[in-house]
Amino acid sequence: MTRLASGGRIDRTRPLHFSFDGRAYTGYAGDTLASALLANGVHLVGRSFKYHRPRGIFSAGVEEPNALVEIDRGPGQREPNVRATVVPLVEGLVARSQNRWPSLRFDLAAAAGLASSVLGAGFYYKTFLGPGRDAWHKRWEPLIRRMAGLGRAPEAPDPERYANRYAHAEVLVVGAGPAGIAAALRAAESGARVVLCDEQAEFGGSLLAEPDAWPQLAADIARLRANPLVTLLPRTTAFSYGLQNFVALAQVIEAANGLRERLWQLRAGRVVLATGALERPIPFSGNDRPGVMLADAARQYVLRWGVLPGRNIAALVAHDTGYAAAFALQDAGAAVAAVLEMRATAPAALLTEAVRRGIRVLPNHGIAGTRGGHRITGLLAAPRNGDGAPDASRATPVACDLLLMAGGWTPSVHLFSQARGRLVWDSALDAFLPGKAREAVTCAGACAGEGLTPGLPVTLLAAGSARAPKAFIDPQNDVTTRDIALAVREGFRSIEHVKRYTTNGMATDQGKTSNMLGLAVVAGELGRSVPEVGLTTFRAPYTPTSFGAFAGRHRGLLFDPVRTAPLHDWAVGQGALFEPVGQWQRARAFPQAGEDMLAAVARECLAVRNAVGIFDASTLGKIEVTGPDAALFLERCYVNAWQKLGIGRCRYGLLLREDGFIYDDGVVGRIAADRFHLTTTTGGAARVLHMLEDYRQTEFPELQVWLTSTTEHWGVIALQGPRARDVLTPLVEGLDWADFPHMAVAECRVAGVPARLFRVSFSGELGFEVNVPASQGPAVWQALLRSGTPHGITPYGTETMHVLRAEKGFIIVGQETDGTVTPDDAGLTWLIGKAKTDFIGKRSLVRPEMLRPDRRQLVGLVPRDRSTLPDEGAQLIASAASRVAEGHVTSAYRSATVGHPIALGLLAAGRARLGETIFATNLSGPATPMEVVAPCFVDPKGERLRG
Amino acid sequence: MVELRELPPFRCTLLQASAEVAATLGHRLPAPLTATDAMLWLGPEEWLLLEDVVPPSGPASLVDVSDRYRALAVRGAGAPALLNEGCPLDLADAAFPTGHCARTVFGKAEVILWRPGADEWRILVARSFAPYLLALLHEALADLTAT
Repeated sequence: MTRLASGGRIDRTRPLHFSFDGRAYTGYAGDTLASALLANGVHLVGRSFKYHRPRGIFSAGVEEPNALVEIDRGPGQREPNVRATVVPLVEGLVARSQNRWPSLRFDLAAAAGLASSVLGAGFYYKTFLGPGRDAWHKRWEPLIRRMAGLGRAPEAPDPERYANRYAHAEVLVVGAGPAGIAAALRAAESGARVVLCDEQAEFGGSLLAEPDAWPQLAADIARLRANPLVTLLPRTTAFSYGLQNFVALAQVIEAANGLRERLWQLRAGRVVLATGALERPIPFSGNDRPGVMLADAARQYVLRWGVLPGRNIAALVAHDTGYAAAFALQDAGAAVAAVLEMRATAPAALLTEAVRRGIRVLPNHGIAGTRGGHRITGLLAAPRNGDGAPDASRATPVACDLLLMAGGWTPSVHLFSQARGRLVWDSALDAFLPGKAREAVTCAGACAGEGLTPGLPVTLLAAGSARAPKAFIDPQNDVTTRDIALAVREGFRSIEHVKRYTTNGMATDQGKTSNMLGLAVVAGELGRSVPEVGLTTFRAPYTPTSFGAFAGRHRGLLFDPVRTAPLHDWAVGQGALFEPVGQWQRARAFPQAGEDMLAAVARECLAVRNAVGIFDASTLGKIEVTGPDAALFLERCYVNAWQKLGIGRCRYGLLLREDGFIYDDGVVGRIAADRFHLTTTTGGAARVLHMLEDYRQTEFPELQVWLTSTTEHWGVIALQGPRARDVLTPLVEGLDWADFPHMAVAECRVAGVPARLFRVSFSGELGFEVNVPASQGPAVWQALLRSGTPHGITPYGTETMHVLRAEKGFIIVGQETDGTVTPDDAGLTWLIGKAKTDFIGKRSLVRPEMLRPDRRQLVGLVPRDRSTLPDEGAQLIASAASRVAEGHVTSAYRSATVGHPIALGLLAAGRARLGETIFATNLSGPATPMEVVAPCFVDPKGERLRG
Repeated sequence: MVELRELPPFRCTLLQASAEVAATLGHRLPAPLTATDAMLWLGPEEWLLLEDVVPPSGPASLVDVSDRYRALAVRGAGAPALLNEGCPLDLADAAFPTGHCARTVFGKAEVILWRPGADEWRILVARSFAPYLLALLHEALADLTAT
């Protein structure tokens, strides 16, 4: 065991049991999975992405590129690529290593060296684009697919829930280290709402590895917790920084009730970024072996988690903080085999202390190579040549079981950069620091460079490493210094190109430890400075964020609102088939026992033609147009003439866009001189209201007219069929039947309920639409059903409604029209008020293109064999062999009334081609010969609906 | 604790008119972004009347929209936390004081939200969106209670 007898913030009275690759281990409350594994002497935790090289725990935080494991919390809760360094240990945790076969300790791919010989920089590009494309499909792709990719996606649905919270705060502090806590305390004193978030389960940041600071830390957190204006969010990562201080936070909750995470979308008056700094690794041969670790991470394992990750350590140091780490491990009982100081001389005070401690310091040294399989066993300490490369010929072996890398510090400026803040290169500190901000944001602490000291410049850190084999800079994507150098030699200059070509920094860690090293290697190869090479873009998310957090509760039935009409529950009870129409669920047909949908629709259609049908038309859009200028307003918008429409009469209205194409249609009834009841298509309800409101406010502000959506107020029941009046008459009060012709509207009572009764027909039969307050819809529906029983009343759905209107050649906007259809194309020129000087779209209708005689016009189509149903959307071609589309089928149905399939279509110069044969393409066979006919199949004179 | 319940149906009328004409109703007109017991300000020259009214004197639009909405009540000190599950507005006292009224969204549904009392909130939602809104609120409420 490498757990220390005392020290750290773990609770040794609370042991926790967990498993890794099936083996049982024990840790303590306060551990992460990584600290618990190290405490059990487990260094080998995974295999790398491309080369399947054994990898260990590299860091102690979110930057971890190596220790990616699978956490299995049950079906649908198996999560791949989780950084072991950020997983709080819980009782019963099940973790597995990834990317190995047959086992972690013996991986066949790594043993055979399958990948390393072929997967160099740009491998994918070269293989895709080069002459070996066949080889790619036949040989490499199958191999790569089996070998590559990290982790396994879960197969079962995620049973947990994800919440959302919008929040506002005067101050958001990101990062609860010393700078963040100080900023939160200051802000809280001012009486502001403060949100303090930190990605870790425990607040404190770097203080968590400073035992002397713990009493003050506890006191500070208690003060914050006691303030009701302060919201403390542990395990919460600010991963995206948007415009106007809109910051997205992902909070991990993992509550017992199944609430897993919460997405916070927070608007802050001011953001304080206290995101700290990340230690730089050092490129040298064999720097990816398990047991090679960031120096400060090792120090944290000792002081925060009471774990001694090595007993005989060596350190490669380019920054003073490396000594603190080596000393801390020595204090905890480790032997220090050597400190290799990359700089020409070690700082005097640290050298003195090292000598006092009996630690051998080798100045101006690097590492020429490491040894060890599943864990480092030794290294080759070598003096650095003039170019910075370690001189292997003068190397001496040093045995060790842990190697610390202290490459200096990189401020975490990710979020500041996401907020479009300018980053400036600080040559003294050898780092990019926050410069001019574009948002109300302040950077505090190490992310602003505060408290940081320079070490060996990063270009010198990387100097001489570009020729070293297996010197990794991005261990997660297996990118080496050689890959970067190769990319530069192959002509890539832009750091953005080098990044994409080599994939450096493109793994799930987004280059937190590799970006600066990649820059340094490119700078060295090009003979430029780091700021001259530039910086790749920081993009959200800062760390991997679950899809669940983004989806929130919007999955399953809550994915999108399901809107239902007043008769929905009744239809469900009848076993209706439903179809989505936008967000609405509408009853499509009411099959009876033994019927399929086709049979049901045929029966429903015949019932309407021969007796009476009843239909829920409540989803129709409805707009009340009121005011003294209501008629004038409609006159200016719709193509029709409205001023002379009598009170109590209706008209079929057509609305165009400015371009002259059909936008919407619907019946408009005049309730009073200054009041119209306007209907729209189901899908057009919102957009028509918006369009009319737009014209009302911006084009015609002088008119006294107002618009009110009444779509949801009225339930609409359509009664269609020769017996419709018989059903209605006994239930209607206050209506003068003698003055109620086709296209009339009246306010009356139906089944005792105040109603607006329309005599309109979308079926070609005698028809009525009963508008009643939506809550009364079910009661009126039941009354009509009872009244209609002796007349054979039959409920019908949207499919029957479609067939009936197609038999009459009535268009459906969005089915016969597609945004390029004019009134004339649709055969609706007769609607246009001849005397009107203007309406929306009028001027467009006389453009030459709109007057061409060969425009596609609405026609009816009947299969010559009277049996083949063409596909909706089928192209219309002049001969079976033609490749030239002259139109297309817009609607096609089997018509029980007519006795054979019917279709509507748009056909070039169609109205002049009645009687011709045209062919409808067929995806599954020869084109279908169709006869071109007038677009009306039933009662062309319209006598039935006036009956 | 937070309590969520649906309110019984009620009559309401949408009034659109100039402020001068609206004033002839005899009610105190609520200021922009506020509500009284009788009227909600919904927008410039637009109010929702919660009591039966006689037509005002002058050009105006009165439309009965009683069945357009379903009404919910949310009560309790934790109401803002529940409402902010889907409503992006700042619901703190300073930003959304008692008497405040706003047209906003909850998730993917448009709603009218107002605050008749310190711990009393009302939501109006278009009838067909009510099942969606209720399901979303109840799921969020269960999680709020549990965590």
